[in-house]
Amino acid sequence: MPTLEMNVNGKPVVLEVDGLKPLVDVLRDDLGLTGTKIGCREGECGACTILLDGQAVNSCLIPAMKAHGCSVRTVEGIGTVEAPHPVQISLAEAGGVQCGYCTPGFVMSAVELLEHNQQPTVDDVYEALEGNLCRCTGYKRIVQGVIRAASKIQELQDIDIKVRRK
Amino acid sequence: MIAENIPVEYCFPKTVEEAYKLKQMYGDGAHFIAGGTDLLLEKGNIRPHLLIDLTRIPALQRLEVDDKRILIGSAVTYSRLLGVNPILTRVPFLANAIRTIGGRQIRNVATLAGNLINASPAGDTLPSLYCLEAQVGIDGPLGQRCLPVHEFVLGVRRTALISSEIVTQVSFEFPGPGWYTAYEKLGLRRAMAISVANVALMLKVEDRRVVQARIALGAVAPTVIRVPEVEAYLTDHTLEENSIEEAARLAAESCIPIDDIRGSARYRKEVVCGLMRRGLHTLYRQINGQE
Repeated sequence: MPTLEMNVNGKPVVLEVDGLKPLVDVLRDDLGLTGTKIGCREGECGACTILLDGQAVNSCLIPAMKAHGCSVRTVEGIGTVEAPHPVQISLAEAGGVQCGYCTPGFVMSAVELLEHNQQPTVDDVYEALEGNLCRCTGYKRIVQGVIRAASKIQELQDIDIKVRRK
Repeated sequence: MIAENIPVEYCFPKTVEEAYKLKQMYGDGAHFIAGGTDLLLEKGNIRPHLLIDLTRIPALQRLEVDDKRILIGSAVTYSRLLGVNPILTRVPFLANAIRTIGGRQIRNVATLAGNLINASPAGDTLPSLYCLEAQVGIDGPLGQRCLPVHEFVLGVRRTALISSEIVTQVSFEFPGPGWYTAYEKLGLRRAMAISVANVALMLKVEDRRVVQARIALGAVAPTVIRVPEVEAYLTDHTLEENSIEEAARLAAESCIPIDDIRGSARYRKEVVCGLMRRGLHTLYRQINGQE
């Protein structure tokens, strides 16, 4: 059985996996990281979105072995209940979370966007999120949440700069 | 096909030669994988001994651009291509086609070569590649060869690849001055959806008169097709209401679509007519400096 070595949320992981086993099953079943959700298993819904070397991918559509030698970030590596990421706070504040099943996927796509583009337009947000489905919110509040997160991150950075200057 | 309980091996060859030799050794028991977004959907139907991952072969990651042409290694992802300025500025119809594929998560791993090898009649990038008369570079135990895209795709999910061969690159010349391009697609929704039909158009225009036309239709025949009747009709015409209508009608007439889950044959002909009209209007606006 092939040996998979990867870094998940900052921790090195080594395990044996079947070459066809999707990454999402390794994350959830072998590593217990159940924050990553399974919606469709065919790359349509985006609930299983994770970051592979910083890029959003559907973890149901890639064999886990594709992460060999790479770093993986799941929603567990983004924020915690005690210290949520600005994207998570903003999505909740904007009403972008209802049943919550799609939320981890949206969080990952939004984090990828904001790491590349700190001042996204509404169109940028729609484009970044087009691979994620939500059946509750109607999307508007999710998009508002991501825009709000962008300004929140900007504010935090401004404060950080001021603090450092002092 | 082998029993479910024997694990599938996985390897990352470092050279093309190593990859096709592994494939030769394992035969049908091995599968090549690049982005994997189509392969994993077939998971229930395939159970290889070995997956040969092509994405870490440096030669297949090549992306070479000069003034005249571009060479795209077969492991280059769509996202990487959309970061190449000449793709956006010199072949905007290809960039538009790529943007309609899946969502970001798909484009971050899927490849242009994968779209070709999958050889779906609805493949979004294929009509543009047919218009550009792209060349497909192939390597394998019998040596290297190069085929024009329309000879590479043989039918529904059938290509000219023979045993153990690997597509190494896709290349094409950029359209020169005076060329305009457009891509139009109808899917069941804008993001993620597979094409009901799609159309790529490339026109060379001098003094507002079309001097050369290349038009390719997708999802309306077993492979993407060029439509010589429409190309001949448009040549020597200027784009105006009547010529646009006639070209759209001719295009609908020259396709042979099927009924399937995404639309009936009759509907698809109407769609082709509408997409042609839309594409030609887009080109009209580009040519007359309104875009």
